[in-house]
Order: sequence, then C-alpha cells, then structure tokens
Amino acid sequence: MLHRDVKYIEADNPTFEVGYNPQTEWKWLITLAFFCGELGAGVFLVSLFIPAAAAKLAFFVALLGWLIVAGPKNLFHFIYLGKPWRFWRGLSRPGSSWITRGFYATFALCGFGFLHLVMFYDVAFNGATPTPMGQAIMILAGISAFVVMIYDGIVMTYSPSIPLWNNSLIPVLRTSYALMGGVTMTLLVSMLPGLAGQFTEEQLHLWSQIERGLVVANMLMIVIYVMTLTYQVTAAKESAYLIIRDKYPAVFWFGVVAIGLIAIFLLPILVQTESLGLLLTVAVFELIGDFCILFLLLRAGVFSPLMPRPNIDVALFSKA
Amino acid sequence: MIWGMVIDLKLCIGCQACSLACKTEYGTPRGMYWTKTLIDEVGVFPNVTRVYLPQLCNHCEEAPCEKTCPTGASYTDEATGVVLVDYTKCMGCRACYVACPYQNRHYLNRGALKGYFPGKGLTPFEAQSYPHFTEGTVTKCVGCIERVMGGLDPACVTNCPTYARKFGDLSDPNSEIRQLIRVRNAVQPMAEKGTEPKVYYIS
Repeated sequence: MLHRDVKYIEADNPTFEVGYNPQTEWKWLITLAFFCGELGAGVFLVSLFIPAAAAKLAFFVALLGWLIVAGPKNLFHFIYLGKPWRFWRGLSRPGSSWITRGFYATFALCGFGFLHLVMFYDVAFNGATPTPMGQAIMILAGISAFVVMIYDGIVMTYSPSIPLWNNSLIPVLRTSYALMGGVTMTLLVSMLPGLAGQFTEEQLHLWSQIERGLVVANMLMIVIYVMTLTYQVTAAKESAYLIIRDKYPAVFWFGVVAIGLIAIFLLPILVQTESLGLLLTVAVFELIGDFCILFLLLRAGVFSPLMPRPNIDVALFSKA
Repeated sequence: MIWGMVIDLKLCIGCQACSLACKTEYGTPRGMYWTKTLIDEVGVFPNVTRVYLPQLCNHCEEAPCEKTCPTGASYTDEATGVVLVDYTKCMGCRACYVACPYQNRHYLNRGALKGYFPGKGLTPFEAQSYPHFTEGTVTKCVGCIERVMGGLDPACVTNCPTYARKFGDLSDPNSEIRQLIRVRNAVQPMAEKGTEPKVYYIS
C-alpha cells in the first residue's frame, strides 16, 4: 500500500520538522556522469562481442563507447566535484570505497580501451590477425568496462541511508540498461553510411532480438523493483509514491515506460523494416528512457525519517 | 576516552539552545546546523502532543560516511572516537552525504560563506569563524573535540537548560553515561543500520 505517514519536505524548504528529506546533492551533473559512464561502458563492452567479420563496425562502436567514457563521463564527474583538482585523492581508498574502485576502473578503461583501439585498428582496416597481446588488452578493457557499468549501481546500493538505493536490484538494473544502450548503439552505428553491410541480415535480426530481450528484462526488473519498494520500509514506499504518483509520474510513465520501453519494443515490430531512421528513433527513445530511470533513482531517493512515528497512546497526554 | 552522549528525551523541551550553542561555538554558515532538535506533532485533535528529538552526528563506530569516503578525508580520531573531516583532503564528492543515515553531513556550496547579510560583507563573528570552513567540501559536527580535550563538555551539552544531554566516556564502565545506558535501557538511533552510533537516547 502506498501512503504517507509523515510529510515530504521539499528540498528548498528545509525545516526542523520530521519528514522525508530528499537527497539534494547528487543531482544533474552526477546523473549525467553516471548515465554517460554506463552507456559508454555498455557500448564498449558490446563492441567486443561483435563478430570478427564485422571488425570495422566493432572498431567504430568501441571508439564511440570509449569517447563517451573518456570525454563526457570524466568531464561531468570533474566539474561536479567541490574541489575538482583534488580528484586524484579519490584513488586512495580502494579497500572500502566503491567510488575509488570506479575511479580505477574508469582510468583502466580509458587506458586499456585506448590501447585496444590502437591495436585493433590494423585488424579492422588492414585485415590483420589479432595478436595475443591485443586479445589480452581487449579482455582487460572488457573487464574494466564491466566494472564501470556496474560500479555506480553498487555505490548507490551501499548507501544505507536511502532505502530506494539500498536495494540489490539496482546494479543489475543499471547493468541491463547499459547493455541495452550498447546493443541499441551498435545497431544504430551498423546502419550508418560506410558501415551498412557489416552486419548480415541474420546478424541484424539476432541483435534486434537481443535488444528486445533486454527491453523485456528491463521491463520485468522495473516492475519487480517498484513492487519490492512497496513492501519495504516507509521511506522506500515514499520513493515509490513520488515516482509513480506524486512528484515524477510523467517522467516514469511517459519517459521510462511509454518511450523507454514500450515504444522501443513495439516500433521495430510495427515498422517492419530496419532503417537508419527507425534505429535512430529507437536509439533516441532508448537514451531518453535510460536517462529518465536514472534521473528518477537519484531524485526520488529520500532518507529514512530520523524519528519514526512514536508508538505511544497520545490519549495519555490529555489525561496527564 | 571514547566520546559518548546520552540524550534524555523526557527532559528535552525543544528550546533549540543546543542548536544556538553550536552555532555560537563554531559559527556554521547560514542554514547549516551541526546539531538541532527535530520537532514532530503526533495524534489527532484534541489528543495531540509535540515530541522532540535532539540530533547531531552520532560519531558512529562503523561510520558509513568514513567507509564510503574515497579520499580518506573522513576519519575517526583514534584518541576520542570522534569522526572528523580533513578539509584539505575532501574533494567534495558528497558520497558521505548520501551514505549518512542521520543526515548529518553538510556540503558547503561555492558561495556558502558569503555571510548572513549579502552585500554587506562579513560580520566580525563571521570573519572569525568562516576561515575554519572550506567551500566545496563537506563539513560536520566535530564533537567539540578541542573542548573535550581541554576537559570541557561539548557546547550543546553545557548549554542545555534541562540537562537533557549527558556527555561522558563510553570506555569507562563507571561513567554516568554508561550507567544511564545500562539502567535506563538506552537505544541507539537506527540501530538496524549497523552503524554503532555513540549517541544514545533514553526516555
């Protein structure tokens, strides 16, 4: 059941009242940084699974993923920091902090990813055979990409203060979205002039099926996730209430569900032909849905109230 | 000694003397309270009452803010058990802010140290206290560590008119707060989070 037992306190109107305080510090820049990180790492990781016959396509997809991580993700993180030039200090606690581990993974992806692109260039454009060294670097870059995809979900899960985040489904959901973004971008790039024909019809069909499978998986996960919220502590219920009904229903129902899941599932079935226009539309819709769900996760996070409803018989006070 | 506090909810009258004492002691910027008393109204008319919850950093034994800090800026002072922030190391990522279940981390935005009277410059009080803060970093209750090391109680304890706050040594089994914890079945806030707070409540 969704209900309010204490009031929601607007972020710009802090009081000494007890209520559900939203987290107010991880907003636009961190949302963009997480979004770019997951998308870029997902695109990069998916590129490693593109068949050898489409090596040219794999190169450009990997380049796209690497650019998204190396550029916007790092930039948004950098300008988000209160003291940006101290960013290097974030490398000092790998033993306990997932942010530090994410830093290392991001730097590893930037480094190994760049080396992979350099070494893969010959394979993609000159038909050279991949070397063992090149394959080892590819594996290291792939592992780094996987950690980048998953670490921000784990960072959120490790926050005991915000029940919306303190849920083990978050890393799985975010990883699944990252992979869906990767597959969508791969299909889009495969239709670009100069790269059309890299995928055979069968491969194109197979990758489209994979994407639809991921859409269905994400849809199920979101349903399960929201359902679990309604069975948790009151702050989780409040977050679910904010997402579904109260503050962000348009973002959820229109952005996440209608555009981000249903439309991208139905569009290829209704249009029937795989074209650049269709895939561009699907890609834009997918990105909107992906961003909206991350936006909701960050914005609808509320802290558990510091004072639970006291379990007292208030009639006693009138008798006193 | 290990820093510890027991707050008697029966004695708290919600006067916010603790909030003001802290502000006076440290000159925290506008809108920032290292300690405050939360107010809630419960019941249905005519059977209604107000309840108060004095609240401050709990200086947790298993501080989630310290664990999530990627720079090591958040640390526990070995001698007193007080959780502190090294402003020279903090990079302002605010991971501690989202990790603290007690909402006792405060981020100093750029421009937060402009003072209470915008355009008029800093008051002498602000001019003295603001240099202790650094914009772009996270700040929090310091447990009045320098007062405690000098043999005094924290400012919020000293200024409480009803003696609702008791301060003492958690490592001493004969200290007043250890006895209160034992005799009056003190509870820790949000004990289910596993943070082992050093602030206890009795009622």
